Amino acid sequence: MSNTAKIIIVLTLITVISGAVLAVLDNYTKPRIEAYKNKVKNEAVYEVLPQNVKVKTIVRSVMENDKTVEYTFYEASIKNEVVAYAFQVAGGGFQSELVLMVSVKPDFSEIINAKILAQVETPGLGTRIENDPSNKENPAWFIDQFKGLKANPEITYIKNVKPSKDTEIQAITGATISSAAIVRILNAEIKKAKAVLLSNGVAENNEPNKEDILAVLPENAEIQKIEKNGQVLYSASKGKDILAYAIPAACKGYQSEISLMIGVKADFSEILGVKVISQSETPGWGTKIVNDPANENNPCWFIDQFKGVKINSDISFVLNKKPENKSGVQAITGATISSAAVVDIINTSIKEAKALLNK
Amino acid sequence: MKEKTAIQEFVKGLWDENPVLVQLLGLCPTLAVTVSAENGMAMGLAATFVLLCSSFLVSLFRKVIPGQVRIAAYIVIIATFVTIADRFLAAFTPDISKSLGPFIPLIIVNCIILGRMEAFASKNGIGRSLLDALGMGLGFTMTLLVLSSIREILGSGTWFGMDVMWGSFSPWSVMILPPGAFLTLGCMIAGANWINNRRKA
Repeated sequence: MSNTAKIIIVLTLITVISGAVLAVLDNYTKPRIEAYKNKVKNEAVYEVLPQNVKVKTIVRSVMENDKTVEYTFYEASIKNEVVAYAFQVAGGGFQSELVLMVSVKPDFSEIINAKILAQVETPGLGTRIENDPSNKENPAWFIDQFKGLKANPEITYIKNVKPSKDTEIQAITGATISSAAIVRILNAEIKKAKAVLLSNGVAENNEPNKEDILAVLPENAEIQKIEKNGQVLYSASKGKDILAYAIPAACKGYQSEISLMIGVKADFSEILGVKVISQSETPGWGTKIVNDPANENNPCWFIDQFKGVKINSDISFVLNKKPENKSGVQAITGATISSAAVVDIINTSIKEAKALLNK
Repeated sequence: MKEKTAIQEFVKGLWDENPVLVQLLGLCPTLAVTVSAENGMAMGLAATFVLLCSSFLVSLFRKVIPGQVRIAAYIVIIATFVTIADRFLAAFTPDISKSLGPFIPLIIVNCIILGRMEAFASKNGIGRSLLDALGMGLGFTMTLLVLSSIREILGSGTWFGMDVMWGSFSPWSVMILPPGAFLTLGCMIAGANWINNRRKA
């Protein structure tokens, strides 16, 4: 037998046997692993809901960025009266994804209870959001603060002192980013869950801050909200003439949702400005889209590049060199995925806005 | 070099050729997972299981596997056993599996295992290979256990989750952070070298 044939036969045999063994094993362990995941989830649902309630599962499908996303809600009722909703929320923390189970009053105004299902934050620092050994009486004091916390208009956090308002919690010293992330996730997701559940499957757009809208539009213009087909835009006008539009947009970056406000000239020829409203990309890499310490003169050079970019055609991006034409930007080395996501969402949002306004 | 006896093949991995302290292999999982004694122990035992099974198969087929593709063959064999260990941990001890995270799958590229296949199992009989694997595996497990115990006791004030320090003890958080792993491992290697040098002298 030639050596080549032997090599092929032996390697093939080894991989085929290995594949077969793993297939059998997968069959055997899969039900157990799934069962465990479900158990953890169900336990969490019952743990955050009041006792002695009847739980009904509600699934809502919502169109988001051309994809159908399913939201699962657990409705708790006593004698046919709804007393709470529980649902799972997730978002980026300091270095890992934070997954929580949260229950709220039926009008979404108050949190009943919250429990952390998964986090891999920095041991000894970020992990204190779940278990803080320095508080001997109650290592879970941080997350317990959310019990009975008012979520309307929004939750805030304060450092180093006891909270004074009924919508306020105290952040953990040494774990401010993880603490703030939980507050941010709960604020955003509770609003979203309310919109999804109460509007019967049509997601409302979260109202952006006025400052964020003004930041990308010409000064001293009159701002008006335009709503069409469930999408929201803002126009800026002086007298009768519309000068510009502001388009809210959101997309998945490398590890978090990046939400932006894009300002464009009314004739859709040029971008006036872009503002990143929120993101939690990888610290030191993806975060360079808003703050690149390597560029001392202008740490937000990346986002500033979009000012004045021509949008007669799609914006393109180049790596490692200056863009060649007026419709190109330079991506950030080390943050290509985050950069590309921003460029992509700007392109799509502008096209959608154009179509919406029949331009 | 003199032929070693069977006992010597087993014992060498525990101290004289300890994979972590002397050969300085497999340091990545060693540093990463040793935040608690339970993690260290589970990682060590999982690696020992993979080492034993792979050594057995590699030694059994050492004359059949062509030299040019031996590394590829070893990797497939090792990967199969690692996946088995990973799925079993996930199915039966989900908590440990969760805290070890990606480090179980990464046993595949743990250089202790590939190193023993290449340096020993591919050249020796089944009996000797198994003894060698058992010795190396236990040596690895013991080192991880000591390292993770030191880090857990000083860093969290507990050992296998039980409170072991006096009430007013304030845990040294740095010990369960990455620098704690380097500090502790550095001290352990220094200690091992010091003992070995004195024994030689």
